[in-house]
Amino acid sequence: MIDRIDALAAEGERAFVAAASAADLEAARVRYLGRKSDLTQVLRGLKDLAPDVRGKVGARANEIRQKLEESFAAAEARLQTAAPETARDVTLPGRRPPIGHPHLLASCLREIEDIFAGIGFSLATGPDVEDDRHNFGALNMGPDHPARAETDTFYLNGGALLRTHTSSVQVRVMDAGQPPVRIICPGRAFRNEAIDATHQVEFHQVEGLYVDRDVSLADLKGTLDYFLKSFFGPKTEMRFCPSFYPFVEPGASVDIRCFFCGGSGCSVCGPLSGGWLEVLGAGMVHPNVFREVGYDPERWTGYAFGVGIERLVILRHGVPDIRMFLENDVRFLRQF
Amino acid sequence: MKVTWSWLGDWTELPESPEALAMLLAKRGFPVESLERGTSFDPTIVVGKVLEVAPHPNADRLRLCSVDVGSERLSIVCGASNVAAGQHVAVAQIGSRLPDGTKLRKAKIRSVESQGMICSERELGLSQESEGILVLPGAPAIGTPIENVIGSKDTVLDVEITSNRTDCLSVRGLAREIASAVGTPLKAAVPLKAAGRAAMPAVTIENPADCGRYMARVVTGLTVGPSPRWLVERIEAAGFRSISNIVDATNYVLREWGQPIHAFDASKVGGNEIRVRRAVKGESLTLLDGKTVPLHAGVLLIADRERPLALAGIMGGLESGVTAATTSVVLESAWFDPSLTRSAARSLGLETDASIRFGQGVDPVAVADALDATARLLAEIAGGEVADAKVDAWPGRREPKHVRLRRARMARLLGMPVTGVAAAKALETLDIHQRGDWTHEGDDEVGTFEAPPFRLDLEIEEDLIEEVGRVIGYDEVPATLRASAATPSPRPMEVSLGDRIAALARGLGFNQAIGPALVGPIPAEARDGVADGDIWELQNPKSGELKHLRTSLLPGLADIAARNLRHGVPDVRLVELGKVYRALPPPLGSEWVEIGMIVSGVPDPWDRPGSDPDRYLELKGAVESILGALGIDSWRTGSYHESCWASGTGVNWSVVEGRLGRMGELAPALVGRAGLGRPAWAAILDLSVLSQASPPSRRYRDVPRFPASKRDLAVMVRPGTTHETLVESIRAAGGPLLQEVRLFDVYEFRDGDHRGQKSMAFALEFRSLERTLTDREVESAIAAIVEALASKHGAEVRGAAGEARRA
Repeated sequence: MIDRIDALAAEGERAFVAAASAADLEAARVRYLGRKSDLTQVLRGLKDLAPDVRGKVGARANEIRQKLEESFAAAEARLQTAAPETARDVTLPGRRPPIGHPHLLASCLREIEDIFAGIGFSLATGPDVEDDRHNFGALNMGPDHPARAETDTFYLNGGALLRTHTSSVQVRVMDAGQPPVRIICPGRAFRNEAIDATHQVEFHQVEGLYVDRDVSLADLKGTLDYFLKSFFGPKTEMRFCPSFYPFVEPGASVDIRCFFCGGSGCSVCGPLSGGWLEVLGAGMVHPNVFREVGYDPERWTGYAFGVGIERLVILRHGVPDIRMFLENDVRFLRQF
Repeated sequence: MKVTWSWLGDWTELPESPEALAMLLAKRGFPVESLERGTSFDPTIVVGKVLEVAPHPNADRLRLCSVDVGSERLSIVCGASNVAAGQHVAVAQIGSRLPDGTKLRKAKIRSVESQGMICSERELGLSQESEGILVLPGAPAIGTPIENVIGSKDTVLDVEITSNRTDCLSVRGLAREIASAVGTPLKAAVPLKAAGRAAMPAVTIENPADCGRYMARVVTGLTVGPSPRWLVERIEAAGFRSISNIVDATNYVLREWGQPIHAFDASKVGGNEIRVRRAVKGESLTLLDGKTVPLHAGVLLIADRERPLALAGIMGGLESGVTAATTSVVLESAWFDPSLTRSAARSLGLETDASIRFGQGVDPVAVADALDATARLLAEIAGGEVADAKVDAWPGRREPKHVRLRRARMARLLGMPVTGVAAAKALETLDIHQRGDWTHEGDDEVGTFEAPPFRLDLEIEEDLIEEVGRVIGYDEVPATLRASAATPSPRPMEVSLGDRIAALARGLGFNQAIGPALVGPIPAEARDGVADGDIWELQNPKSGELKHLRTSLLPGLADIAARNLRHGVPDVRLVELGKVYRALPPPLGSEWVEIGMIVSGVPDPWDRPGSDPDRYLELKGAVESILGALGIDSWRTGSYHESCWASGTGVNWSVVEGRLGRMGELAPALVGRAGLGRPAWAAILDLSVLSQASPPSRRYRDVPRFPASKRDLAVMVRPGTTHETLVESIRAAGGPLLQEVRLFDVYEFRDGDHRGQKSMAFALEFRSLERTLTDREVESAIAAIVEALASKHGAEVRGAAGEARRA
């Protein structure tokens, strides 16, 4: 019996403390102190109890009743001090100083820089306006290479051009010093292509270059696997397929398993890919490139890779159209 | 390159499905870009003849047809309005599988049983949309499977061929790759039966460097006419238009062997003599397309004794070409110098399938095979007879290329060991044969391999290493991440500083933009004195709006802000860190990173209540907060007029290192040009000056332990008096104890006694690091300040007799 009274006491206490309005409090009073409350019932039933028990239970019940009445009074006082006319509307929105958002490309570019910085790649930069040698000639692209055709490259006066890839920075870095070299070069590149949802005449790339003794295709695979897992998540699966870029040999295109469908085939990866999405191009630096910058290809080996940032960001975040990046609609910027 | 499934199947075993082939080719470096599935027809879909058409008893728009399919008569319910008795139609019977995969079941339509279906083009998978049933022309035999009438449609694959693998721009070349991957040999060509008799033309090659090999065969007794359906289907899938059996055969062989073939009408070859020679200035030739082109010595000709017949490797002449009357042809298969063909084609503005192919370099050995294939095909489809003799002038015959391969080098580049046997076996599948055996050279083993004549891309060891990797599979190469001996260098200071500024601007509510570097004409107001010759202009722009490299971030930011305002964004605040460009000095000009900020629109009334709507000061404050956060404590500001700013609003910040930046209200012309429709304020900061002015690290300064004495001082000044000059005077007069001077109010009197004057109120803070200041010390400093302001600026201290209020 005593246990039951104590339980009632605890319950009532909580109800009074929690009451947030006069109505709440009144309901709690009726329930724990009212004429029909359990406690009143107990007090009324005292007369039916054995005399030795009656004394104990009665004393306890009265004690509890007094405590509850005190709690009620305290709650009443609390609610009165917070009277409605002076209370804050705590649901009003706070005044939010505006916070700007990073451009999605800029934040992803920074993320990529950090991933590579973590495995010892330094940052290198080079000009957007380039000459033929840095963009083509030194990269084993002779005068007849199709990439030189006017359809792909924007030309400026006096033989200058807009770099078509950040690979031009490779040449600048190797011209400037001897191996070992371990760099990435982020930046803008330009191509005279038809503009559509996946092609823009200006876009961003990150070029990577590692030249050292005995650098191998296996090292390239390991590095890109680390990068793609860091960027797309630890479960990312990667594969290398043969491909051709004049400045590497062997060359590879690098795919990741489509994370939309998990590789079963969908509209993103297409029905023919077997669930693979091409994300970048890579390969072992061509000996002609080494010769051009005065490195001995017998002594040094190296790999290079080039990543289109827009493509990676579009894949990871589901951005439907590459043109959105340069349009800078604030409603788009604010999402990231 | 587009190629059909069955065509590849002529040359190699294929995997079980086109999808599996696509997967296999991707792993070999030939991704399949698209796949058009073919159609074939269930043999139970047959030709039927409609005997009778009667109305359906229970439906106005349906008919009840009695159709003879040979074996029986079927009663078929048909909804098409064009059905009529006497028509020959395609009938799918109960149990037939339609091209879309559905199986036709017995069904009652409006309670009348239909024993089959009369098919439309759409139901046969022949077109996306069709009206009514397909009526077969020419009354084909009743009961014939429909496939025999319409033919099946082959699956077409569009395969991406990288520019190094021109040998795979042919069915046979691609089939060789597939055969290597599937592990079966390439199938052999069907042999040519040449038993006819004809006089061979006499061939002379003027310069062997221009024409390394020239072959010819003569086919007689031809009938020019249409090509058979199978051939038309294949060449059309490959992108050619069917013209006549003879022309089609040459195009077929071009795609199958990668070898351009030319057919001359044998009767038009004067003196039955062929001379391969350079054109002479003054000569001209009328081409197959009817155009006459003047020639020059950079063009190689195929000529007879008197005149030019064709542009070698580019296009045939009209006169010597095949016509409907042609009965015998001279077929030409040759190797023309790639760079000569390219330059000749370019100089004449005639880039043809043939010139592109010769320009890449054809396989000199396959010149013979392709010629035989063409002759054989003509015998088959044009009823010709192939003469047993042939012409083969091969002055440019060369020894095969030999490439050395070192096993250690291979292991070093691939990052995995490959045995000599495995490497040789892999290369063998691509017809790259080992000559001799592996030999020891020091610790290494060296093998010599012969590049097949069609593989122009195999020149160096690395090329072979890639081939080994490709055949074994890049999947077999392990992935290792190794530490580097390269010493990392710290992030360049300007880059880090840029990141910090972007982060600070974001904290101040600016969204980060990345605008295009390629822009339209630079507006005069945004030129800021940049001369025409200092602006980069593209020689081959995509459009007038993508023609110049931006010289300032300002116009681009105004465009972005205007677009956002139009989209209903109420408060636009943007920051951009991006390159701007100048064309001088040559050759590469100069480029540097600029920081642009722009503010326009109205702040949110809730989030920034009762705020001063002076957005000019808002932007100025944002810039000054950023400067402060970068540790730049002091700078000079000054009025700075540029055409981009509205009159009287331009201001710049400078330090000894140079101009940190500038800002103002955007000039009305720029506001109008961008379509902003309301004022906007912008700032441009110079990253390199900021990086010079920003201290790399900061030193500790004592935190004051004694209380400050604060005084407010309101002065009345003439309107032209600037804040900066007043503060300088206050500081100079206040002495070292005056630690801080902050403006807290400005009021301009528009009328009354003080009309034309303005009042500026300053909060002054006096403090010593050593002791608490006495009132007397402070009062005397105040007196000095009041005196200085009065004498230098004619300022009058407002309030009770020049008493500074105790704050």
